[in-house]
Amino acid sequence: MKKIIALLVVLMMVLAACGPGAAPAPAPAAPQAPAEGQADPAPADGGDLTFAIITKSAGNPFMERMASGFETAAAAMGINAVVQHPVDTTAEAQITVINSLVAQGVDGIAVAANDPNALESALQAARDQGITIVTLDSDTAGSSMFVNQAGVFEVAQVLVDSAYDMSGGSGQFAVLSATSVATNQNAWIAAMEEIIAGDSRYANLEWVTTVFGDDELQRSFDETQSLLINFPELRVIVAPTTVGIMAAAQVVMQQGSDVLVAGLGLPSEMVGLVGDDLPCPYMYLWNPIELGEVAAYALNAFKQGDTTGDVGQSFTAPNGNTFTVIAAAPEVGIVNAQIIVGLPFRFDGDNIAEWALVY
Amino acid sequence: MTGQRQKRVIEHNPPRDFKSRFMRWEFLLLALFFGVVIMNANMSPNFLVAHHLFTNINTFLVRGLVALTMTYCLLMGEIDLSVGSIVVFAATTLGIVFNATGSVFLGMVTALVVGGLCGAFNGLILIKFKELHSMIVTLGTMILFRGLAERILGAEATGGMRSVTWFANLFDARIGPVPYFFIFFCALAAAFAFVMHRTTFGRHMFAIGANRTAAEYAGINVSKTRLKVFALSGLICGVSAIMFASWTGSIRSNVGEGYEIEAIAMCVLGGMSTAGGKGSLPGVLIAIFTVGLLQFGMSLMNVNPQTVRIIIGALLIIVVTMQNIRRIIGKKITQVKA
Repeated sequence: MKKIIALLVVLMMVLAACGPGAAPAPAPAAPQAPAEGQADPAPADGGDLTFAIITKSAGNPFMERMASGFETAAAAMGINAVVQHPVDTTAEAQITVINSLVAQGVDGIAVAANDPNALESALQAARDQGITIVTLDSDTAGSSMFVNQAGVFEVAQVLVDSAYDMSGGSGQFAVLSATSVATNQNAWIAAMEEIIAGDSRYANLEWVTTVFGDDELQRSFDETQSLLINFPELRVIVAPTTVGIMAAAQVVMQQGSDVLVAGLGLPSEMVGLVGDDLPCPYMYLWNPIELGEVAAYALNAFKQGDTTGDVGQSFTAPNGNTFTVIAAAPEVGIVNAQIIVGLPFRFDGDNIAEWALVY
Repeated sequence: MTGQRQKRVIEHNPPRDFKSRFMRWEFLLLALFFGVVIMNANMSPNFLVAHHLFTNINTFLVRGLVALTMTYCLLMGEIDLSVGSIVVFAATTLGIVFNATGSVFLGMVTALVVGGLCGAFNGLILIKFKELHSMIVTLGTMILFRGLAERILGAEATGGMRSVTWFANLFDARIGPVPYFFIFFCALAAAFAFVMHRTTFGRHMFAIGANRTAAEYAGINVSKTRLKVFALSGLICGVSAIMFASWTGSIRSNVGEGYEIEAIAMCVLGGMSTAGGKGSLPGVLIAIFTVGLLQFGMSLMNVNPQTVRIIIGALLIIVVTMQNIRRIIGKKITQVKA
C-alpha cells in the first residue's frame, strides 16, 4: 500500500513538474510570428522556419538583450525563434543545447561560443543535417559565418576620432589597455596606429604612451595616476576596455583633472561618469540588440540563398542595411568569414541612464 | 525484530533481505524512469529517435562515470568533492602532454596516472589523519586541483586531440546508433555493481559505511579499503577526463565544474544514504539515466535549462524526504508490532 502511494506521488510529481514547464514551450512558437508581424501581412514566405539562438549563459543582461534582438528580427521575418540560455558558461552546456536543437530539427542556429574549438563536432553534426550555423559575439570553428559587433577597423576609427575630438584636434593622448597579450586590444591599437599614420588630419595628435591595467581596477587606477603625473600636458586617455575606462574616469574625477576619458565602456558601470562636464563626454560599446538582429538576418540570408558565406558576397537585410562578407581574422580569434554589424554604438549624457538599465 | 536490526548494520547480506530492499526503492525509481521516458516520448516526436537519443546519452555519461565511484564513497560514509577538479586537472595534463609529445596515447596514460594519484592523495591524507572528514579534505583538494589547472591554463584552452581520428572515435564511434562509449559505460557499471554487491570488497565497503569502528574491530583493513576507493575515484575521473577530451577536443579551466554536485545528486536520487552503509548501484544507474533523459526531454521542448534545474532540485528534495518518510512509517509499524 505504502509502495503504491509513494509510486503515485512520484508519478504525479513528475507529471506536475513537467506538464506546465513543457506545455508553454510549443505555444509561443506558433502565435508569435503573426502577432509581431505587425505592418506587413505578407511575410508568410518565412514558412515554417525555426531559428534558435544560444547565448553564453543565463543572467547576463548583454546576452539577454542580444537574444531579444534576435527574437524581434526573426518574428518580423515571420520566422519562429527559440532562445536558449545554457546553465553554465561552458562549452559543455552549449553542446547539450546544440544536440537537442539538432534533434528537434531547427533550421538555423546562432551561437555565442563559450570556447573557440569545443563546439566544432556538435556544430558539424548540425550542419550535416542541413542546419545553418552562424556565430555572434564570440566565434568558434564549425560555423558558416561570424557576425562581428566589433570590426577592428570600426572600433579603432571611433577611438581615434574620440581622441581627436576631445583634444580639440591636437595635443597629447595616451592609451590605457587591458593586458599586453589581449589579442583584440592589440588589434585595435595596431589599427589606431595605422589610421593615425594614414591621415594628415591626425598629424597634431601626439600618442605619448600605451600602458596596461591588466583589466584590474586597482592596476588601472595606478596606471591612470602615473599617466596624470608623468604627462602634465596630457589631454585625453583612450581606454578600449570597460575596466580601464571606468578606472580612468574615476581617477580623473577624484583628482579634479581636466583630462578627458574616451573608449569602450559598460553603461551600467559608467553612469555618473559619462556626460557633459563629466570626465567622459561620450564613449562607445556594442549594441547587443542590433547584434542579435543581424544574426537573425544572416541566418535568413543563408536560407533564402542570398549568400553562401563566401568572402566578397553581400546581402541586404530587411532593415535596409547591406552587409558584405569579409575574410576571417584568426589573429583575433575570428576563424570564419565575417560580417560587421556596424559602427560601435555611442553612449553620451542623453542616453546613458536609459542604457544603464540594459547592461 | 533482531532481523530488522541486523539489516540496519550490514545490508549487503542476507540475499533475501537485500532483494526486498531492492524491490522497494529501485522499483519506484524505475517507475519514475519510465514515467520520464513515456512523458518525453509523448511530448516530443524527436525523443525516441535512436541517433539523437544516444548522442545525448553519451554526453551525460561523461558525468555519469563519476557517479559510479561517488556511489562507493557514499557507501562508505565518505564523500569526494574533488572529482570535478580531478577531471579538469587530468584533462589539462592530457592536453599538455598531447601538445608536447604529439602522442595522444601518452596523454591518456598521463590523465589516468594523474587522476589516480590525485585520488590516492585524497586517500592518503584521510588515512593518515583519521579524524578529518573526507568532506573537508576533498573540499581542500577540490580547490587545489582546480587551482593547478587554472594556473597551467590561465584563460587559454589546451586541445587539438580530436584531430587524432581514433581518439575522437572513443566518443564518436558507434555500432548502428549505439555508441561504443555507451557499451563501455554499461560494462563498467556492471563491474561496479558486481564488486559492490557480490564481492568481499563490496561487503567491506558496506560494513565500513555502517560502522567504521565496528568494521575495524571485525578485522577489516579500513585504511586500505578507503585508500583504494579514493584512488579508484581519481582513476575514474581520469577516464571521464579522457572522454571529455575525446568529446570536445578542448580543455578549459572550467571543465568539470559541478560534476561533484551532479554525481552526488544522482547517487542520492538513486537511494544512496549520505550516512553510509546503504544503497545499491543499480539504483544509482537508474537515477543517472532518469536525470539525464529528463534533462534531454525538457531541452527538446525548449524548457529553459534554469527551469530544468528547478525541477531537478525539487525532484531531489521530494525524493529524499520521501525516503525518510518511508523510514519513519516503517519504524512506527515495527514499534506497533513489537
